[in-house]
Amino acid sequence: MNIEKFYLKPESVEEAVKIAIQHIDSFRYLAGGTDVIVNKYQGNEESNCLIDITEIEELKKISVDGDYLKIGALIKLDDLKKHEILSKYFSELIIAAHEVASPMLRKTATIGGNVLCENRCSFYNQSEWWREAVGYCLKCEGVLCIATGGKKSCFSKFVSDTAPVLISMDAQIEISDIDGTKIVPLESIYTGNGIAPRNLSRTALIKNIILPLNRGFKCSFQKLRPREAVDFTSLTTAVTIDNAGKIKMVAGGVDPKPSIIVGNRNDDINELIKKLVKQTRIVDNDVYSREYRKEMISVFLNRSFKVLGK
Amino acid sequence: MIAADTLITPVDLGSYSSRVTFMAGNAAKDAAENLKKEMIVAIAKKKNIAEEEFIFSENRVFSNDKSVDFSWDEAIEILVANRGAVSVSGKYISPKLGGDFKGAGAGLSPSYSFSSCVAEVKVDLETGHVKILNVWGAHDCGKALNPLAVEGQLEGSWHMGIGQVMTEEMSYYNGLLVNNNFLDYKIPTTLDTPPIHTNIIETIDPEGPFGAKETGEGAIHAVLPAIANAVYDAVGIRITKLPIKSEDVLRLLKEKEKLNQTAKVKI
Repeated sequence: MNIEKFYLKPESVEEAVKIAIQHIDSFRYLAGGTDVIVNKYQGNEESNCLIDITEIEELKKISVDGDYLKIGALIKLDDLKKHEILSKYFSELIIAAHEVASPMLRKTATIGGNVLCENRCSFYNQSEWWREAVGYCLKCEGVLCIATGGKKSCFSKFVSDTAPVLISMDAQIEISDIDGTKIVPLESIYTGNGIAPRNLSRTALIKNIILPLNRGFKCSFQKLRPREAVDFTSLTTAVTIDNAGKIKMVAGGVDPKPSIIVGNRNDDINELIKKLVKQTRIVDNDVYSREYRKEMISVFLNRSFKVLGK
Repeated sequence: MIAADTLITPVDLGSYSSRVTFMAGNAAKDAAENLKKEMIVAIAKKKNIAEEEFIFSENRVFSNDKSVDFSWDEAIEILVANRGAVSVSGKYISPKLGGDFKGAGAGLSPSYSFSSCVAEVKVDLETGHVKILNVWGAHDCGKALNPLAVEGQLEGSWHMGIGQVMTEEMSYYNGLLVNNNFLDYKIPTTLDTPPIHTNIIETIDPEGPFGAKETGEGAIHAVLPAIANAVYDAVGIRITKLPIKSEDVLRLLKEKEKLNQTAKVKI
């Protein structure tokens, strides 16, 4: 099942992209591997070439650049808390990273990998045998969505825990590709299509995650799941208010992409929450029912606003 | 000791149903007693004294008048001197149980364990989430042959019970198990497991080996209703379906609230 033809270890981003072009038909970048390898075992990831980027030193730095903090994509989730500026100004990001998986996985999983975490669905994250027996769903080249009982689009849920917090703090990402590097807002890479949830080109690599400094962020993060560790999210919410009064609410786990509403301190909070709930497309592909997760969005957001003193 | 050689160990039904300490324990005790008999016969023959004079105590084999006084090793030497390795076996067959009335054959056992549990829970009124804060309990296992192992069994049993009552379930789609792995089948993690306070109640069971009974499945029973009752005590809703899901708790809380409202209107 796991016959790899190539396992390559480039030492720079340029080299990685070059190798990727050479193996363009069937390759996959590998960082922490906590997502890719599991998907490989289940037959959801079938590339013949793994490009291990963990040796690329330039992706492992956290640095301040003017009004921005740059977090290297290969920083491990467990290592975020060791950085002074992060623990001082972005404590909620550290809390969110700490809510991912279990201690052992956090020592391997990277922040870049977490924002690119593959969407999940109870009918997709199954063994090859299981998916064949049930009848392949849309996300694995079938013709119908099983979770919704026959819809023609895929609603696999977006499960990153760090991305909602990052987006709520107006994070940007620096992407390296064949045609050089560019900086885009993090939310712009998510398409909302469960089958292809990100619009990055296949050879693209995230170099840095860039957070604005000096905006006086106050953030509140919450996560819904049956157990207090290990589980993927059933609903993640992050609310951030900056010192200019801008409110950004993000919900994950309730749509193929993060659901985002931007408002202002003077806006009616209930209206903003209502708008966000309306934006989500929740289906029964989780341990919790659709209705319950929908109801919890406003419960969580209201609690967050209480914490933030709004 | 040979554990599984059908030439010398008789066929047993198996290691399940919390029967091992009781059944295998009694059989091992019987085997040890048979070995003791062989030893007495060997030494009595060599020293020419009556078999009922022998005392086994403090790793020694001796007679009251001390005409025989051997260390355990010396006694073994005499036993094996003329015959080589000695093998004995023992057995336990439970006494005839039940009666001739209808249903008399159901759930029979030569002895029964007893268990009780107290749980402390916190219920989130907005999300319906139930958090277990503490579990206390006591289990009557007869004589605790190895108290540390009994404590471990109790903690294991209650942890398992907490899984059954809080998160573990199997969901199916067209006959296929959906949560067929330990990511989706939710066994409580260490963070979901509250402090567990165990108490061993020692009674001497007339039938068990040295009075021992069991500490396994019997211990699980009490923790499930204890947690459901704790939820009732906290927020006044009766759980009738396991596992206790947040959404069910929330639904029941709302139904209760609705009933209260209509009751108020009627007054």
